[in-house]
Amino acid sequence: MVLGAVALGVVVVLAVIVFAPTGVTVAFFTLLISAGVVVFAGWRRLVQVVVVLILVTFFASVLIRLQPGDPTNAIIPFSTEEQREELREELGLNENIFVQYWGFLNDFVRGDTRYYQSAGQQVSGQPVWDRLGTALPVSLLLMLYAQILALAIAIPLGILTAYRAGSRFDKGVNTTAFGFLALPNFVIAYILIYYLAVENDFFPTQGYTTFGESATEHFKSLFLPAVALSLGLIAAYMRLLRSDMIQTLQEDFITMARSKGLSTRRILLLHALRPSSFTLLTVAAINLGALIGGVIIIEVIFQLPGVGLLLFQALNADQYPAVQTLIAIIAIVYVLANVVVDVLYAVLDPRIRHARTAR
Amino acid sequence: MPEPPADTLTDRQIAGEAAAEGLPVDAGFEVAIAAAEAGTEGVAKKRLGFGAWLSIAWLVLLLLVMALAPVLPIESPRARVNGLAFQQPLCNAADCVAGHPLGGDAIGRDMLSRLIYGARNSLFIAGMATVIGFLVGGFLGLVAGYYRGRTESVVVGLLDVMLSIPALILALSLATFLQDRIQDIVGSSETAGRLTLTFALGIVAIPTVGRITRANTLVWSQREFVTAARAQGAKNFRIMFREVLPNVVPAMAAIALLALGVLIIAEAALSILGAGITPPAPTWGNIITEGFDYLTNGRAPHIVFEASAIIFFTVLAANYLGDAVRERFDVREARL
Amino acid sequence: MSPKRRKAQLDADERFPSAPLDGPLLEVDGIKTHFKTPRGLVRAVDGVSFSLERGRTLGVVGESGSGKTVLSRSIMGLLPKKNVVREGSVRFENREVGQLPPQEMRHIWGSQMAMVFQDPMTSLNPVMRVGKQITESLLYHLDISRTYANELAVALLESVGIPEPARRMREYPHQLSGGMRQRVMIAIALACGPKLLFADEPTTALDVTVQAQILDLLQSQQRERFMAMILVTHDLGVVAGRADEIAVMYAGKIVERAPTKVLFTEMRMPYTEALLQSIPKLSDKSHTRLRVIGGRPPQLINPPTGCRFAPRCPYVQDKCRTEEPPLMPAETPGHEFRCWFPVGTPEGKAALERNRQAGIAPAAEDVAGNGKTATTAAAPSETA
Repeated sequence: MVLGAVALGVVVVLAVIVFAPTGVTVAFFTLLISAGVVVFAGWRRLVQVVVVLILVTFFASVLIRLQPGDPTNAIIPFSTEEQREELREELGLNENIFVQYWGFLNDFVRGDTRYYQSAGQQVSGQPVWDRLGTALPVSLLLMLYAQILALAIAIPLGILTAYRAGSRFDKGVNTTAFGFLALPNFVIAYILIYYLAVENDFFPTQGYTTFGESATEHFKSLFLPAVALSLGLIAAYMRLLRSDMIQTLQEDFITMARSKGLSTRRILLLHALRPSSFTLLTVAAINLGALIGGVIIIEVIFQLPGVGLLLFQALNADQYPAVQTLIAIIAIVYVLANVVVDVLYAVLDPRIRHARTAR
Repeated sequence: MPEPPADTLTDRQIAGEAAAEGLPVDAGFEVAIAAAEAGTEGVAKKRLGFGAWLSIAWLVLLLLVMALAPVLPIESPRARVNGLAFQQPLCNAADCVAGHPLGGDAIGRDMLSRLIYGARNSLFIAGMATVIGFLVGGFLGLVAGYYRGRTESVVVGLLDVMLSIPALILALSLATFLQDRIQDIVGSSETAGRLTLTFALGIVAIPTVGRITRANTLVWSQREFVTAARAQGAKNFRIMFREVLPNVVPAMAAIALLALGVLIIAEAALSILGAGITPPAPTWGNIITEGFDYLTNGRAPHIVFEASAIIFFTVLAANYLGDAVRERFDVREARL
Repeated sequence: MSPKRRKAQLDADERFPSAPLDGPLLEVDGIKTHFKTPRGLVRAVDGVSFSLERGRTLGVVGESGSGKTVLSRSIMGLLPKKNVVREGSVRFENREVGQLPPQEMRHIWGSQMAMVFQDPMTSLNPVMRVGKQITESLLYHLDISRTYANELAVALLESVGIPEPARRMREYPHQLSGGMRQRVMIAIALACGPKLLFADEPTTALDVTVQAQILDLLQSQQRERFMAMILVTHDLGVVAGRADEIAVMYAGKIVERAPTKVLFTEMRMPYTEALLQSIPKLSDKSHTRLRVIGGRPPQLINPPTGCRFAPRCPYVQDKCRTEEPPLMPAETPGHEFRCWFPVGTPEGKAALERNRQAGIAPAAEDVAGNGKTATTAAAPSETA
C-alpha cells in the first residue's frame, strides 16, 4: 500500500516534469490522478478537489477582466486593430465571463495554453508550454534542494534540542531560530549574495547552469538560492519538531523503551521520531504555499529561469494570457500536492490507516 | 475537605508544569500534584519580560517617528541632496555631507527620511491589511465557529478555496490586475498603490485569520457560560459578541501581531516582484528593489541592508510580542 | 548484534557475574529520591530499606502520593537526569547499582531487571508493530539472529496466553484489546529472562474481569522462571493472595512490612488497618457507608515533624505529632512497623479510647454531614 502511494507520487511528479501538451496525455493523467485520489482519499475528496480546481481556474481566467479598458492594447502594443480584434476573439473577451472561462478551460485541457505574444508579430506567439518545459524542472529542483537541506539540518537539530531541552545549547538554538523566522528569505538572499558572491566570488550572483552542462556549476548556482529558501524552513521545522518531540519524550512508551535497556540513540530515532514526524509532515504541507511564494522571489532575485521568473517576466511584459496560464498551473500543482500530502498522511500513520479500513 | 483554590490548574497543566521542571510526569502525577499543591497560588500571571518591553519600545518608537515625520528635522524623502549619492552610513571623511547618519541612496536622497516615510507606507499597508483580515476573517470565523452546521460548512468551504491558491500568487495577481482600475477611480498613483496593496494583502489575510478565529470560537462557545446565556434567553448575536468574542480576542491579539509581521514582509516581497507602490514614493520594499543593483555591483550595499534591517527588527518585535501575548492568554498552547 | 554492542555486552557480563544463589537478589538500603522543584524539595521516597530473595514477591501498597511508583523507578534507576537527588544504596546481586549512570544501567535494564507498566495503551509504541517491540529487546541484549528472535517472540506471545501469536506479531497495539496489550507488555518485559520484575499497577487500567487473568499470568511466569517480583499497587486485594511479603508505604516511607498472612492477621500500623477497613466486603449489608480514610494525601514538600500519618490517624496522640516513629520490629520475625501506639496493643487501644471520648476526629471527611466522621462512626469494635 505504501509502495503504491509512492509509485503514484513518482509517476505524478514525472508526468508534471515531462508533460507533453497533447490532449490524450492530459486526459490520461487526469484519469490516473483522479483514480489515485479516490482510492486513497475517497470520493468526497475527489469532488472537493474538482470543485476547488474549477474555482481556481475560474479565478485565473477572470483576472484579465479586472483590467480597465482594453487589455489587448497592453498585450500586443504596436499592432493593428484587426490583430487586436482577433486576439480579443481568441481570448473570449467579447463574450461574457462564463463563455470566456469555458473557452479558457477548453484550451487549457486540450493543451493549447496560451501564448507569449511578441510585439509586432501576428497574434500567435510562442506557446507557454515550451518555456514551461525548461522552467518547471528548475523550480522543482530548487524546491527539492531547499526541502532536503532544511530537513537535513532541522531534524537533527530538533531531536537534539528536544533531548537537551532547557540547556544552553537548546536556548541558543531556539533564539537563533526565532531570529531566522523574522528574517525574510530575500533578506537572507541579499546577505548571502553580498558576502559570498559579490565580495568573495565563491558563488555566482545570478544565473543558472543545468546539471547536464556541469554538475558543479549546477549545484553552485542553486546553492545560495536553496540556502536562502531553507533557512526559514529550518527554523520553522526545528521548532515544531522540538516541541512535538518534547511531548513525545514524556510519553510512557519512551520510559518503557528505556526500561528495555535500549540505547538513547535508538530510542530517539526509532521510537520518538516516528510519532513526531507526522506534525512535521503537516507543517511541510502547510508551508508548501509559502514555499511557492518564496521560490518565486528567490528566482527573481537570482535570475533562475524557473516558473517564478516566467511569471515575473510575463507580468512585467503585460502578457496577461500567459500570466493566466501560469497562475492556473501553479494553483493546480499546489492543490494536487496538498491532496498527495493528505494521502501520504493517512498512509503513514497506522492509526488512521486502520481506522479508515475499519469503517 | 477544603475546596481546592479557585484557580487550580487542570491535570494537564499540572503535568505540563511538572514536565517542564523535569519531574517524571508518568509517575502517576503523584509527585507533580504534591508539588503543585504545595504552592497554592496557581499559575502566576507572568509579567512581561525584558524582550517584550524592548519590542514594545521599538514599535512605539516607530509609530511616533512615523506620525511625527513631517515635523522632524529630516529631509523630504524625495529631495536630492548634492553630493549625497552613494554616501555610506556614518561617514566621517571630509567629502561627506553632514547630518545624514544613514547615508544616501543612489540618486542622493537621504536614507533616514526615506526609511521613515517608507515606514508610513509599509506599516500603514500592513496594518490596514491586518485590520481588514481581522474584520472580515474574524467575523466569518466567529460566525462559523458559533453557529456551526450549514453556516460553518459554507464559510469553511469559502475559506478553503481562498487558501487553495498560494498566498503570494493570490496577492500578486490581485495587486497587478487591480492596480489600474483602482488608479482610475482614485487618481493619484501613490494612493492607488496603497489601496491596491492593502486590499490585496487584506484578502490574503482573511482565510488564515478566519480559520484561527473559528478554532478559537469553537473552543469558547462550548463552554458553559454560553449555554447559560442562551438559557437566559439572550439572542445568538448578542451572545456571540458579548460572551464569546471578548474571550477570543486575547488569543487573536497574538495572531494579529504575528500577522502584522508576515504582511510587512509580504509587502516587501510584492515590491520586489514589481507589484508594489511605484517609486519615487518610498516603501521599505521598493527601497530594497531600487537598491538591489547597487548591492550586486557593490557600490552601495547599505541601501538594501538598511531597509532589510528595519524590516527585520520590526518583524522580530512583532513576533516576540505576539509570542509573549500568546503565552499569556492562549490556554491551549503550552510553552513552545 | 553489532561487534561494538557485543563487546559492550561481554563487558557487562564480566562486571555482573551472578551472585551466589543463597544471598538476597536485591538489597535496598535507605534510598531517598528527592525532586527539586521551584516550590521546594519533593521528598517522594524518603528512606526505604528492604531486601528481596530470588523467586519471592514483594507487594508494595500505598495511595496516590505515597511514592510507590517513584520507588520502583528509583530502584531500577529510570529517573530523569535533571533536578533529581538520589541517596542510598541499591545492591543487585551483590553489586552496587544505585549510583551507576544510565549508560551502565542499560546493560541491566531488560536483561536483569524489567518493568511492566500501568497503562498498556500509552506504554506501547503506537506506531510500531507488536512483534518488533519484542524482538527489539531480544536483538539488543542477546546475540541471536533475527529469525530466531522472531521465533522466540512468537513463543513468548504464546506463553503469555495470546491466541494466534504469529498473526499478532504484525499488528499494532491499538488493534489489540486492553488485556492482550498488557500480556504483550509482560511478554516484552520477560523477553530476556530478567531476574527481577517490577509490576507497576499492572491491572489498574484493565477491566476487573481481566485483572485476575493478568495477575495469574504474572504469578505463573514468576514461578516458572524463578523470578523475583515487586508488585506495586494501591489495591490490597491484589496483593492479598499473590505476594509473599507486603510493604505498606505512606508519604515516601515504608510504614509496615510483613509476610502477607502476618500483615493481615497481626497488623500494627493504623494506616494498614484503615486500608483494610476501606475495602468493601461482600458480607456488609447493602447501603453500608463506605469507609474512607479522611484527610488529604501527605505533604511531600517540607513534611511536618512527627509521624506523617498523624493528621489522619484515629490513634493519634501528642507524641505522634512531635516525634517520628522509627521502624520497629514486631514479635513475629520479618515484621516491622512504624507507630507509637500500634493497633492491637494495650497502648494503642488506650489511645483510641482516649480519642473517642475526647471526640477527636482526625480531619476526616464528614461523609454524612452530621458532625460525625466516618472513622469515629465506625466503632472500634469492628475487627479487620
